[in-house]
Amino acid sequence: MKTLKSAEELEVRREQIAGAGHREGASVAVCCGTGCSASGAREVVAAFEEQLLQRELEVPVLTRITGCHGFCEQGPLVVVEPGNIFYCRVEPEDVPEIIERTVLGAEAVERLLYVDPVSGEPVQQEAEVPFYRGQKRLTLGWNGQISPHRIEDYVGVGGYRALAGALGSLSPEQVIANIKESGLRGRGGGGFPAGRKWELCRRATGEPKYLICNADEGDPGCFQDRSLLEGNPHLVIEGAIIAAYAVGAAKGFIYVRNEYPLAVEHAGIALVQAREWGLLGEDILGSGFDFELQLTRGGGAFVCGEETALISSIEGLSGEPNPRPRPPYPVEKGLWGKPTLINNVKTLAAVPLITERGGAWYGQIGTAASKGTMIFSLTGKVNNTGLVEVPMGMTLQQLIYEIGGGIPGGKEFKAVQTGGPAGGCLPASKLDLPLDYEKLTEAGSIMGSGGMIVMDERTCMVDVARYFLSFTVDESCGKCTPCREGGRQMMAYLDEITAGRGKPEYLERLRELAAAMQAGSLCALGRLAPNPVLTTLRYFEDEYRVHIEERRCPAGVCKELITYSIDEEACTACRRCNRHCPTGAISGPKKEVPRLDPELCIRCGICRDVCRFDAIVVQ
Amino acid sequence: MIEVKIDGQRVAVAAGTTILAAARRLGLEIPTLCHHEALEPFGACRLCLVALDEGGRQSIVAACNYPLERSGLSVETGTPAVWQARKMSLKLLLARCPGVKVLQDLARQWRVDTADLLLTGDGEEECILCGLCVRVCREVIGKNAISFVYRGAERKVSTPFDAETDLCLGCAACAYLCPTGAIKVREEAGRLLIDRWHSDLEQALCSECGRPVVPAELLVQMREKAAEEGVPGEELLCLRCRRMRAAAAATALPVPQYGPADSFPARRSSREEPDVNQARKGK
Repeated sequence: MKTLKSAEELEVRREQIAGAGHREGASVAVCCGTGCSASGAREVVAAFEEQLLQRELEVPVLTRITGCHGFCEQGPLVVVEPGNIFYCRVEPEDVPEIIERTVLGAEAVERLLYVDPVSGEPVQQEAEVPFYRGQKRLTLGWNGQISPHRIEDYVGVGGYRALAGALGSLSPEQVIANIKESGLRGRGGGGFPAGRKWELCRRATGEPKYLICNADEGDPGCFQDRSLLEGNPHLVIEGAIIAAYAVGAAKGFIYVRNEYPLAVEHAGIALVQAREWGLLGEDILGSGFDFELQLTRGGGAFVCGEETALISSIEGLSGEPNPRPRPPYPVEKGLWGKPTLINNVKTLAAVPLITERGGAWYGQIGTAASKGTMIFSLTGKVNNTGLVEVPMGMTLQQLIYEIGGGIPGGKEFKAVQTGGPAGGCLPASKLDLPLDYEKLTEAGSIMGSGGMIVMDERTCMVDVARYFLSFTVDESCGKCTPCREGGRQMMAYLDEITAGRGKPEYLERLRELAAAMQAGSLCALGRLAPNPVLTTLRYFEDEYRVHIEERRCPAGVCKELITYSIDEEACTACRRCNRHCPTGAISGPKKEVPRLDPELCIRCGICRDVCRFDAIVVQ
Repeated sequence: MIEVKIDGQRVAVAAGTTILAAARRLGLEIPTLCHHEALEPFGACRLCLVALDEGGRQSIVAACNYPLERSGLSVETGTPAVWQARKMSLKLLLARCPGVKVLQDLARQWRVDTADLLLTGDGEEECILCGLCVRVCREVIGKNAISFVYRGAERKVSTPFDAETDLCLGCAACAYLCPTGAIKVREEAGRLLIDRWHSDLEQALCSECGRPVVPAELLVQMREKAAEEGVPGEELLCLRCRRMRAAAAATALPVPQYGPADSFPARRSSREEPDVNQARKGK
């Protein structure tokens, strides 16, 4: 591979790629993001490759592996040309039919199409699926078009054009001005204006300067950074190079957790390719700008997403927040005491687009103070789980119902936890809240890194608060007193309440401890950790009180407060519960309503889940 | 120099001075447990919390590690919110280590008790995780023999793999700085033992009286360091013998003669002192 020496050479290469024309005619693209891979996408790819080869076609049909499309609920996903036909839940057994009818016959296999749950009609194209219709996939959209381990694909769809443009015709100050104009804010959770951060780093004195791409995503149920690095690593790398040029960084690190093997692999391959193509290293595209970028794998501690802990970890120290926090900020004194720009994966992924299309264009999307698009991991009790990218300002209602398809099983929406474990639980009355940094903070939650966990009526809010707090307590580094000791003490109160041993004054104790953690903790982990408890106390205090005063769990979750029984009226004696009960607590002769032995019952809820007649009663 | 206000008093300090240092200059007392002048600030105990006003933006920060970078900042060291946060930090530490005297004393002074907390320790735990031991070993001694291990509630200070380590010289600087007495150093059969670090060290003996004086490896390294700095090595004496000898040397100096020499009987008795030591050696 010849190194590219100028922007012109990059354009020539792009034309060559377009001319090679794998895209015209037939092709099969299989999503091999982590979600689809877990659902068997690799076997589907193998089946396509093997069977297409066996057919000895005159014009070979390319089987491409793509990154995550976001609709993980329906995986493995396959997009077939001609016709750009979108198939869901494809299994290896479906492959012969797809090859025969779609690849060669140019018609759709109806049974594999997505069916619009509202109209009941099958949908042929990905863009027509309601899940995608309301989205604005500025950064994620490329995932489905390219193979993550082929730089040719990325360049083919216009990749590195923004970089070439910036290096060729923009001064670093102009690049920064553009980002400032766009209104882009840090997507890692803090929401600090990205352009301002870049400017501070550019002005800081000290050589060399460093850039860090923070890919230490660790919120439970969050995988947007992961999917970007897995599915389109060059987009993040391009953003990083532009950022490095803007602030004058000589060296950069992508800090990714080692628990993301595919992200590590794909980003590693992409870095090698970018170096070979002359997009990293010395004299990038003949501009005279030098930048080296490398991968650093983290051990997976949640707190390492915190900037100073992350820096300690890269320096080879244990990952805990720095003894000297802020000021000075990392932009002035960061890695090895040098000015360091730290940006989240999603922030950097937005940079090429903003650089190429202009800050003003990006600034038109979103609300007054929250610009552009945000990627959310939509998970929990929602029909369409997956990754969604939407313009800022969309309401929770739209996100959960129009894109997410509402709550499964016709159940009632109860709450949504935004911003990961340090975020807050928002009730139905907040569904009209727009997705906006300040609006979410006002409501007691945060934007965070884009976690979005939907809960239905069968969720106990005390139990939820306890779950999220247990996560942050586990992940606390233990350095400062309020976070280490306070979190543990809060857990003890929640344990007592969910076990039916709560006392009315415990709620006040929880609030006191929460206030101390918020005020006194060393880093954001400890300051935000009480959020789930505080928001559930704010919006669902009644539920806490029922646990304490009536020793009852209204949602039927807290095991020590519930008993299971069988509703003899509703039961049809189908014995389904009997077969599924893991402890043999449900028994009785055939054709009779079975008996449930409360002594043997471990309250796992399996009987309730499998019963088709709502005959299992929880009290 | 910058000018800031602490509790209403103006003070001029060099940019980068911590709030704690600036406050102490004014004679204001801010409690600390994890701070030491000779070590980098750590910000862990959260007893030194103060209220900071940065032109209207208010926050609670740790005084020990917050550097004052520009004029116009205003600090209050004793607002109700500050005391509430400090008291909670103390309460939580006391619940962890109810048997530690320094915490008990502060708790009495601040009227803090742990009666309403559900988790209180049995009194066995004495370590408050202030990190003074870890930092002195790393920053001053340069050995890094001990470090924090595990995280969250499991966090503790330990040697690598919680086993005996030859990095520990037995200097006991850790024990000297420990505010709670959690690190105990003892001598047994001429060896120096720090049980917490599994250290069991041979000691070098006083050349005069033969009593163990200092861990042998520590002595070797101290002598090497002294030699590097051009300080000549001396023979090893225990503190007592060193004093004896210094006293003997001092009294042996020519003394101004104001009368007959035998009018100074004290001199003779000083010279007898080494004999006492000889007797000890024989014991």
